[in-house]
Amino acid sequence: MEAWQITLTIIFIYCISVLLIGFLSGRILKKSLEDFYVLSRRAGILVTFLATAATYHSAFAFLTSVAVYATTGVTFWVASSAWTTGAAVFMYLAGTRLMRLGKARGHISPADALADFYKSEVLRVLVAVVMALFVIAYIVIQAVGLGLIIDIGSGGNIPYMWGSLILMLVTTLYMVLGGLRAAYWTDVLQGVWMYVGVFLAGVLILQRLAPGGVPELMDQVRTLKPSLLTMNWDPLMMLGAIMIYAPGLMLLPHLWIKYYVARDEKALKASAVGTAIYLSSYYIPTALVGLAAAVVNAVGIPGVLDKGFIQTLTSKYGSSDAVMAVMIYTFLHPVVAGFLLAGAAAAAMSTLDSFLGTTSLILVRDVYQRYVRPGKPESEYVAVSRILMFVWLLIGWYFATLKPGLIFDVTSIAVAGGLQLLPLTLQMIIPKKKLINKYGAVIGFSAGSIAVALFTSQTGKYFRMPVTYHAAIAGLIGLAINTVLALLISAATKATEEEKKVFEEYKKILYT
Amino acid sequence: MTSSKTRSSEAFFTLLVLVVWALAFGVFLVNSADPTPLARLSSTYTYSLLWWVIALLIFVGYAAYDLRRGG
Repeated sequence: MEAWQITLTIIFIYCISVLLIGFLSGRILKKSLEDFYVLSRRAGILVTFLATAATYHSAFAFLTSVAVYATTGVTFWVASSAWTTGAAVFMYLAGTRLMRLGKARGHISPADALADFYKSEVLRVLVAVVMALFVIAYIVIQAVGLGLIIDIGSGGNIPYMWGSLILMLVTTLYMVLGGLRAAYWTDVLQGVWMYVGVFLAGVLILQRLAPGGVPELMDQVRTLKPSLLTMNWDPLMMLGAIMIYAPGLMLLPHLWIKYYVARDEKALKASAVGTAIYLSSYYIPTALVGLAAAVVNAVGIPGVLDKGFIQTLTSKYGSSDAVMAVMIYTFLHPVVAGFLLAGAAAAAMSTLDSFLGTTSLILVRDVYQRYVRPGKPESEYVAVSRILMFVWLLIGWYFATLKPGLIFDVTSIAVAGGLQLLPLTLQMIIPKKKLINKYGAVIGFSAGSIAVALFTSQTGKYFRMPVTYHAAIAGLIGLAINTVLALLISAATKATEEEKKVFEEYKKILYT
Repeated sequence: MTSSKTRSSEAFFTLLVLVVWALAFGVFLVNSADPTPLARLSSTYTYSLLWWVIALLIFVGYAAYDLRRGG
């Protein structure tokens, strides 16, 4: 058996495992939206923790973190240690309040919650549609990651675009079989697999390339490219990255609904602590692989990897995201490589499944069920959810075939969009004084989301914007415009009586 | 049900989080590739690692206190 066949066999075994879990969870699935999406709000600490952590960490964590370490060095650690722990703290503080409100008022999606609080159906549709659009960017990067894993894991025998399609189909299939229940169950397997995998990769690659351990690796990097050991972003970029990847990401629908899954607040809070440790420590081994890759890239290893291999990968795949997969495939035994690349696939699939599930949830629950065919049996809505998963799969896959660039940059667009929910959400979970009403919420959120699209480099070019920025900065600009407009419009208009009544009810739920 | 004691400790923790996370930006004051005694990491990396450990300890400590008295 050739090396690539061994690697692919292990990835195949992994795929069979998740499909089996999807099938089993589907057998006990009740045909109701609440069970299909939020496990009937009965998940314990382990499932809530691993579902949140595995969903948060995606192809981004396994692939692009190594690519960013290899090209910008420890900058990634400085920012990511702050945003990953910040995300978990946000889950602890804001998530518990969202959970309490969700249980009391029956919310199962962000649009549900915000439309209920602001008493605005316009806001419901707006949040549902805008979030579904931003989420496409996230689905695309998982598709990119899956394509890279199979292409490299198969030694080029299964090309990027078909590899991506095959693994996306596997994900969609187990989602169709078991709904988000399957995603939660598979997240447990995937969460453990990808965590063990990334530490194993870090240790084994370090042993191979710097037998003297971390001090030797640091000295190699210091000699070849010392700037990789310093912070290379300015404070504004760091602030933007922390904001979009902490509250911004935690407000995207696929993570927001995790707050509704836990059986009680204690389970959610304990999960948040586990999430902080899991998410942040994950980036320690990826730093080792990324910095080792930078060393190999600078000097080359004759007959193994050429000097400048990162540039070669960038021209082939449109970004440097393949570095991790190449390091694993090149330096480790095929059995280990198969295990680790399956871990990489787990990272991507565990996020993709939640995205497919929540995007279809948003559109079915907040648009189809309310405006297209209201009052139909729940089984019809579940069936439509399943069809929508395939539609989103195809859209994501199509954009992935265009090789859209570095996963880090594409992801940032989606999370910068998520950040625009922050002012509306803070008003909802801290109902002390009514500062934002439905008019302010609708206009502020719309303006913030448009600003993100206009000022982000990748999207701004379509609007011929003279000045564009990284999505992290665009997210901050959007947030500032959003907040100012929401407050000004709310000050200039009056909240309806219905809104005021709900505001008092929320106050009671949270403060009495 | 949220008691006023719970609310004030939550408010204190939120304030603490803002202060600690602001300290993460202190990395710009020690931004250099010079090695430190900690595994010859750069001073940038060392500062950030120590910040991370402290931030995690504060979070875990608060959570332990909060959960022990009923969450």
